[in-house]
Order: sequence, then C-alpha cells, then structure tokens
Amino acid sequence: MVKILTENWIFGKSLNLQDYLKVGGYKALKKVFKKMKPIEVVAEMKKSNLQGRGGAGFPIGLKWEAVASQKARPKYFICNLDESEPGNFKDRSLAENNPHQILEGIIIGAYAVGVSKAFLYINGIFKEAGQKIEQALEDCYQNDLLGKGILGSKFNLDLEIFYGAGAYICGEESALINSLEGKRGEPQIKPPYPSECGLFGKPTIVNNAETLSSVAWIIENGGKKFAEIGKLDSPGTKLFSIDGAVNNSGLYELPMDKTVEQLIETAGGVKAGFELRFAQIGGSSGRIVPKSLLTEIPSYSREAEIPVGSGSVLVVSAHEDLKKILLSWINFFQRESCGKCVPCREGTFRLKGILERLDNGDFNQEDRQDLYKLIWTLDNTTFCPLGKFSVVGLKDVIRYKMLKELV
Amino acid sequence: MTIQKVLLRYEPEKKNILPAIKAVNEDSGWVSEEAVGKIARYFGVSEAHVFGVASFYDEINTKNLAQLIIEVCDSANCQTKNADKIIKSVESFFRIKEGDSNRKFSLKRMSCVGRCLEGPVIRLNGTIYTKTTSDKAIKLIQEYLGLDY
Repeated sequence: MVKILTENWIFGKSLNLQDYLKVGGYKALKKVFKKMKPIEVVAEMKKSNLQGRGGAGFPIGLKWEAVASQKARPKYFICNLDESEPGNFKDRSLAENNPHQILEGIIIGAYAVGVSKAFLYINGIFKEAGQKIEQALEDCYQNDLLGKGILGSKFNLDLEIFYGAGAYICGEESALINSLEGKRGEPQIKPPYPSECGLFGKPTIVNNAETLSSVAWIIENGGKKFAEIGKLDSPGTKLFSIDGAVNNSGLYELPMDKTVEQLIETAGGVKAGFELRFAQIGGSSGRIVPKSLLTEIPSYSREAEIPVGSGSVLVVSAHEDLKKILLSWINFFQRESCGKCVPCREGTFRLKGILERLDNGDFNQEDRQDLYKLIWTLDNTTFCPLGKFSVVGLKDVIRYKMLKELV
Repeated sequence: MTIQKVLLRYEPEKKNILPAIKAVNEDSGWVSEEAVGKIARYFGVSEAHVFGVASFYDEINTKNLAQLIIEVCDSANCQTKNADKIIKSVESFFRIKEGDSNRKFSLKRMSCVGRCLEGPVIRLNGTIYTKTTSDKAIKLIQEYLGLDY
C-alpha cells in the first residue's frame, strides 16, 4: 500500500536534514526550481485534487491559485500546526518525526504563489515538536534551503515559527491570523477570505501541516498519480489517529477509501470483552457512527455521509458512560468558545448546565424543551462553525435514539 | 528579570505582542495590571488591547494563581480512560473542588494536548504527565507540595 506521509519514519527517531536528504528529501524542491514555473506548480496541485487535511477539505490547488493571482504585495504563507481537536495527534507526530517534509511543502508553496515571508503557527503545548521544527529551520538556513537565493535560484524565503498560547479556535484560519497579529484569537467575518485579505490585510495562504506534507510527493510523482489513490473525489492518503476500545490504538496512514469498520480492524479490532457502541470520526466535533453505519467511508467528498474531518477515530464501547462523553464534548466547547458571539458563548454555557443536570439525574421537562432550542440555536446562528461543532455529537446521539436511555 | 528586560528581547512589532505577553507570563508566572501597562506602552497599543489578548489564551494567567495549578484533560479520549475518576480522587484527597482556587492549589479541566495514546493526561504547573491513575496523580501532587502534605 502506498505511503506518502509516514513512508520514511524511523520509529522513535526524528529525521534530521541528513536523514531526510538520504531518502530523497528536497528533490522535489530542486525539481521545482530547475524545471517548473510557479504556475505549473499550482497546476500540478490542482491536478492532484489534494484537499485540506485540517478538516474542511478545501482543495489546496484552488487556494494557491487564488493567492497566486492576487496583485497585492507582500503576500504571506502560513502553515497551520495549531492542532487541538480532541483525539488528534497527527500534525504533532508529523512535526516530531519528519519536520523537513512539512518545510519542503511550505517552501514549494511559497514559490508557487510568490511569497517571501512565511510563518509556521504551532500549538504552544507542543514543546518537542517545536524543538524539532526549530532545529530543522536552523539546518535549512545553514544549508541554503531558506533565506536569500535558495539553492542558487533567485527565490528568497524567510520562515518564522510562531507559538500559539492555548486556544482551539486559533486553528480556524481567520482566528489564527488575528492571533498572529497580536490580537485575541477571534474569527473574522468571511468574505473577504484570507486569500484576498489575510495577515496584515494582505493575501494569505493558510495550509494544514498534513496537507503540506504531501506536496513534495505530488511534485515528484505527479498530481495525476496522487489523484488515483483511494477514492476519486477524495484522493490521497490520510493519517488516522485511532484510539479508544481497540487493541492497537495508534496513528495509521491509509488511503481514504476505507470503511469505518476497516479503520477499526486496522487498529486491531475492538478489544476482547468489549462491545462496540459507536465510533466518533473527526474528534469532538465529529459525527457518530453507530453499528448500522460501519460500512460508510469517511472522506472529504461532498456525498460522504460521514466527513473524515481531521481524521481521528474514537471507538466507544458499551462500557462507557455516555453522559460523561456528552459532558466531555460540551465542557470542551464551552471552554473554547471565544466569547465573540452570544449564541455560542451563552448557548454552550446553558447546554453545559442542562447536561450536568442530566448527569446528576435532575433533568426536568423544561430542560428537555430548552435542549432542542439550544441545539437549533447553536447549529444555525453562531458566527463561526464552533457553535455548530458543539452539537454535532449530541444531535447524533438524539438521532440514533441514545438520549432516551439516559433520561 | 524586569518586565522591561523581557520586552527588550522583542521588536515592537504587532506580531510580537503575543510572544512578548507569553514571555512575561513565563517569567513572572502571571501578567499583572502593571505588566499590562508596560507591555501596552512598549507596543504602542491600548492597555485594553493587551489585557484582552492576555485574558483570551489558556496559557496566560491574568491572576496571580495558586502555587500549584492542577489540570486534568477531560476530552473524550481521556474521559474514556477514566479522567473523571482522577478529578474525583484529587478532590476528595486534597479537599478541594474542581474550579476552586486557593493559595495552595487550583484544580481545573483542560483541553486536549494531543497525547491521547498515553492518556489520561494531567498537567502540574504546565508539565505534562501521562498514563496517570488516581494514585499516581495524588503522589505527584504531594511531591510538588512537599511530602508532608
């Protein structure tokens, strides 16, 4: 099976520049400088149909094209490594195991869209990953891979690491940009999109670290070959963080044509003595997959019943107290709600109160009515998707008639 | 280190506001009203702006918090690994309540730090401890507070 993201990982050891060069690292970058015009790089990415691995699945080629065509200068390129969706550890693992693969993606991207200043926004808690990236940056500067006239070309790029300070919402691109500008990490209204008016009001690319990790492979092997992996409308491989009641929880790279059942099997299947109740795909903002839907294929395609999101899989057994999981979701979103819009700030707070009463056995008739109103409000009226995310799991719990057993 | 000295490590550019606030927080343990004033003057922005930013992020304290900050991850993955039990045991052993804060310690829930495979995860004054049990958590906290506690 083809591996792109984890192909060269050495277990327990981070690839330094020498290791990375040995396995063909920065060959794609050299090819780009020697043989490709920026516009051809963008065309190759469009051909690959690589979709944003942060969760939204927006095609990277279209994003790059939008910024490449902007007249305003300077432009900025940001790599989003602010991973904080519960249950996810893919971007952190990429940064720890193979930081240069991410950097090569950034440099190629910056060349393609005409950027000379890039940032890597990393979750402030990722100490080890941060050290690995900093070391990789230093090696790049010393070996002519960053700075002025990279590899003898006329292309200059300055790349700076920026540590977040603990805010889930900063994974959203407009909030991330606010954070970088020294403001509260609150999301901004769209349009204008960052591709027109992003960092310091200039055209800006924000790409997830996992997305960028596939770029070098695509340049070397061609977009067409990438587009043929897995499902046609959602191609390529994806990292899945599989955890919960499975035998071998861990990080797995698989093409996106696997059913939920196959994903669970990859992680060694459900533990003996446990019975699967449901799996949750894509962290605490992800959909619930009950037994009846285990044959669904999570992906980025529009028709997918189960969006793959950031790619985490939590297998929940019948042993678990569902009330505690409901509380875990709402606690998370209540804490991480940025406070900018009332429906989300107050909605998550009230919903938390109701679910706490459900946990204590004080759930009353009034709560039942309010519950549905709050779910509707959070689902439909919040400023950014965080409000919507906060009720995805709860809505599914109701849809699959699991709430009844709790009251 | 004085706040001024910490600030001088940064160019007074907008993109350095958050890193500077973080550095002050790390240096003094929290960001006081006095510090907010100094940071604001250094960057040429309002105090409200600096305080707004400082109070927004989880990693920055705008209150002089307890000697020991205990945080337990309660995200779904750690929750399925008994995070709640750890909170309950710490509460009853040290006679504190989640959300409370006194001079000795404060206990709160935190969001996922991406170490799910090694859960349940707790943090003591910012240091991450993995594969925690109730007993292990109590022991670690005692070590922080001095064994006679």
